[in-house]
Amino acid sequence: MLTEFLQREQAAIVDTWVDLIISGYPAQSSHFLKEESDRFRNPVGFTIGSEANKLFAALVDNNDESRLRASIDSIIKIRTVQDFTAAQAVHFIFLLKDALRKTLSEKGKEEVPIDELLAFESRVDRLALLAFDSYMHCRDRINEIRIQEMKRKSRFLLKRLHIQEESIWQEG
Amino acid sequence: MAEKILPPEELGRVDYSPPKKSWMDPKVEFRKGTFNYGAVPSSTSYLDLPFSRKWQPTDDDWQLPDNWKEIILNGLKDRLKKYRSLKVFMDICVRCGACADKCHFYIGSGDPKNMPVLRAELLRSVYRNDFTTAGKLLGKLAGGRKLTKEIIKEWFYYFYQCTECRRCSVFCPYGIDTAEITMMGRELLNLLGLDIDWITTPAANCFRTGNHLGIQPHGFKDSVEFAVDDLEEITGIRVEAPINKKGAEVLFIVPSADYFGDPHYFGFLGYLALLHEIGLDYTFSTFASEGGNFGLFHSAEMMKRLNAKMYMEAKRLGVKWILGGECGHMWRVIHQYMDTVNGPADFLEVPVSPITGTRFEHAASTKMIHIAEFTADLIKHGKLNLDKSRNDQWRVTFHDSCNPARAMGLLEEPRFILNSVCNHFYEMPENTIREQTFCCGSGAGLGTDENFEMRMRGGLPRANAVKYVQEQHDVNMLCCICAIDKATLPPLMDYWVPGIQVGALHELVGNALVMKGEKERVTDMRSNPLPGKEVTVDA
Amino acid sequence: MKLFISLLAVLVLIILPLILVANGGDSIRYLFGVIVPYVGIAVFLFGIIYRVLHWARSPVPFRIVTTCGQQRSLPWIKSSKLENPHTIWGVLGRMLLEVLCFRSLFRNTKVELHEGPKLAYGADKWLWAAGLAFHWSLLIIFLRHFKYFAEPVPYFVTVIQNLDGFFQVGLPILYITDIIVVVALTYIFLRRVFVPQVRYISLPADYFALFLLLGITISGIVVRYFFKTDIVGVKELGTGLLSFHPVVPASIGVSFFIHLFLVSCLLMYFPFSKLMHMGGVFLSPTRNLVNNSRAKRHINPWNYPVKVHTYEEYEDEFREVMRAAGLPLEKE
Repeated sequence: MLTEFLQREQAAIVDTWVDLIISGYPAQSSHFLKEESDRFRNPVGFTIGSEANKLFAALVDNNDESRLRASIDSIIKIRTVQDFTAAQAVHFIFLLKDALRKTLSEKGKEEVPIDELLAFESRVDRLALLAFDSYMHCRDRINEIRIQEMKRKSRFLLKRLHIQEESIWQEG
Repeated sequence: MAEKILPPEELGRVDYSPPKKSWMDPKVEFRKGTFNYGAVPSSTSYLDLPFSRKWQPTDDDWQLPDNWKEIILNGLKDRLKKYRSLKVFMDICVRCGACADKCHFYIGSGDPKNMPVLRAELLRSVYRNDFTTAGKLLGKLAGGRKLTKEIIKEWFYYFYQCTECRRCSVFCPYGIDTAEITMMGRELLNLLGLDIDWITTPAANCFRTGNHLGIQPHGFKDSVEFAVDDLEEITGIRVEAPINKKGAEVLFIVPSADYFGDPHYFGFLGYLALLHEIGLDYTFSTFASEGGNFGLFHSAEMMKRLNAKMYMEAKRLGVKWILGGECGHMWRVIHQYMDTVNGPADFLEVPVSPITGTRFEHAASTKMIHIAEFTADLIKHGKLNLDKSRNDQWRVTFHDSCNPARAMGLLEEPRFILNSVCNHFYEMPENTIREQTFCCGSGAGLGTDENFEMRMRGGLPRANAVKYVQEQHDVNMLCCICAIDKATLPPLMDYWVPGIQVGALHELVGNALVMKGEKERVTDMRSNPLPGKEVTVDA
Repeated sequence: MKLFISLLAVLVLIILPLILVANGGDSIRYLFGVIVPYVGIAVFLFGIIYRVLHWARSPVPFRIVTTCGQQRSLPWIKSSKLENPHTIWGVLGRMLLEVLCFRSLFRNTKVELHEGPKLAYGADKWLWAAGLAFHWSLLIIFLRHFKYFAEPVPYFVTVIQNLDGFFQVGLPILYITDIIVVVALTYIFLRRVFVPQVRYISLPADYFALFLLLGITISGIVVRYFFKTDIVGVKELGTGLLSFHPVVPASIGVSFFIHLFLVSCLLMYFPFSKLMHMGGVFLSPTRNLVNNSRAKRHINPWNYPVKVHTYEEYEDEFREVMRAAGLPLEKE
């Protein structure tokens, strides 16, 4: 029954969710992030919008983690390198609960059994954990890439000094 | 006291600063990963720069000289007198906002002060306050701001968040070029000794040793010899690569990263193979062993000081003309500044390709041509034997570098070459290439490790377009003709679009080039097996 | 706040003639009908000349063309003559496109992804359209006004007027440009207020210019269509001003004085404001130069010698290692 509600109101819920996510950016940019539909002119807004939709659909279907992960990664990858702390970077997941409650209160509280709602919110919580994993993974990637960048700089230098160890270069 | 239960929308708002009311408030926070370190005193003093001292942007006190205000205002006055561009650009912006969403840093960060118009307003507001009647009378009401130390910090933060890529200037109805404004802003900061290390130290190296990396003459020779060895291993041909040879016909100057960096080096092998194959009488120089010019990111004067070596060395060696390698901002300097600041090059001749006889009239005064122009001419005249299939391991897209695209117009030459040396070439979407190309996010001296997160933000629009051709056409190679691109696009790709390699145009030329007397090639310039030539090891 | 200050300023400019002319005598009418317009025109002309000369006093040290197309290099590569001009004619064409058609604003292309997935290039051209509509309408309206200054009315003015009133609607005949200019200005104003990025970058001066222009067009419309004023009297004033024998006919109503005063204010404000983009666009070095800096040397008048590192200094420092590496030396 909740599932029906979620499917029916997907557009409204996701829209509210995306609004809440984007309101975390400076107010002067939110219009651009939200309204600019060109994916090349507005990669941040485009990614948040399209991946939020996919995430929500996957959550409703109670899909396995692998389907959730790609979408989570796409959003987290961006938030990791923006001016956010770890908490702020993953916080957008919890905003889904808020968006859901808001839509529920507007469009029919009574038809949803509380246990189903709690179950769905648990799924959202699980998503948040995935997001945290993803954030940590992105931070790790950044550090790995930074190390590789350093190595790349000195690669031929080391080669010339005959201290190249193939194993060093094979990672990544 | 009962603990307050936060609703979900409040959870993530831990000390998130609320949007500022007006941009006139200059507060900036130097967060790790988003700014560049200050220059070390040894570099600034080597270059005789003012107020050389040890400092970091995170310091509370930037140890500005007592008369800092006077220095800035006099510096601005001086530059208004010297540059019509600055004067006009200070006055005529109507703040229409056409540039706002054209900046890669704005697109990637959402920080409103990264809108080109606002970046310029940071300086313009001070100009209005002190140089216009309306500003003097009405102050803030006329859009003026009184110069404060906070504004200096804000300038530093945002003028080192612009890569001088000039994309906004393409869209501005009056051609206002934020690069000009950033350059002036940086020059003003330099007057107070606020230099960044990633620009000043390479500049000091270049001044002393002839190249940014600080490689001394014997090191340069070693590097070239190693490359000759590597090329011999790949092709079976031992090429000659003369250095400091007097009386050669052509002086060949490449960015120093070409003989040290990965993947620049593979393009360097391509140059060596090509120039050997056509039998060009050329020489490298240890004294002018740098094509790039980090001086451009510092000041017009530093640009001139570093660039002077090219003509000085061409004169000393007695060459006829100069050939330049693949580099972005190097070509901004050569095309738009070199002849003006260090010319006239009346001791050189108009470049003529000794192989095709083509006279490069478009370089009749500067006497320096781009290797893409040179190679395209060779291919057009059928002087090269090319085997495209030796690039079949690559599905290529081409990244126009900002300066060759928007400060020169070198668009078709590399595309012609690419289409001649590989079978699979795919363009990125129209509004992300050619004159609308997106910057790598690390140009103009911002490609440092400490600035990594900012670079990832700034490079997002570029990476996003690459991702699109990766999805559509399985592209696996991002080809480019800029040393900074080659250094900074690999990490950018690793982060946003894993699976994309970055390569030089002449790396692909080197792969395809069938040389007279070469052995059967089994590897490409990267020493990776060619398609169909993989060695299978039986277990 | 920025908006209200500007609105207030323009309202004051409207109320001033309203009160003074309505209650004042002939001398006030002479002040608003003759002195203020003369001052306005004088400030406008001298101001513009001063500003342009002021800009022109600074040299163009470098040839910093923003190239938006293929350069001229090899003969078999087609160069982009207008977007990357290599002759003065190309620059002329580029400037004409810029000034007459707002070429750069037109560049605002936008890509949309459709199901398929298929890319489509669409237009994001509202700002371009509104800007172009506003500027062209203003020009036509300006030219139309010549009929108040010259007798007989120049032929081109009649032609423009007939074209502008092509639809023959209403009495007096409705000019299309009157509608377009108000609509375009309103769009530009609303965009400034409602698009957060643009609101963020806006200064009081931006609103002031818009309100002033809106005030002028609306007061002009009011004079023409609603509180009709004596056209013959206005023409008498116009020709008088132009021939330096000014008279202020008693038949001219207050509404016209408001219109005239706002126009005079615009003329006085113009040279000291961002409206000077009209002149500045011609002086913009990224657009008005030929991209031939490698073919022809560009001279920087203040080019000065700098401290360089000479080859001799370089060899002195590295002579030993160069010798050891077998590199040729100037001094053994």
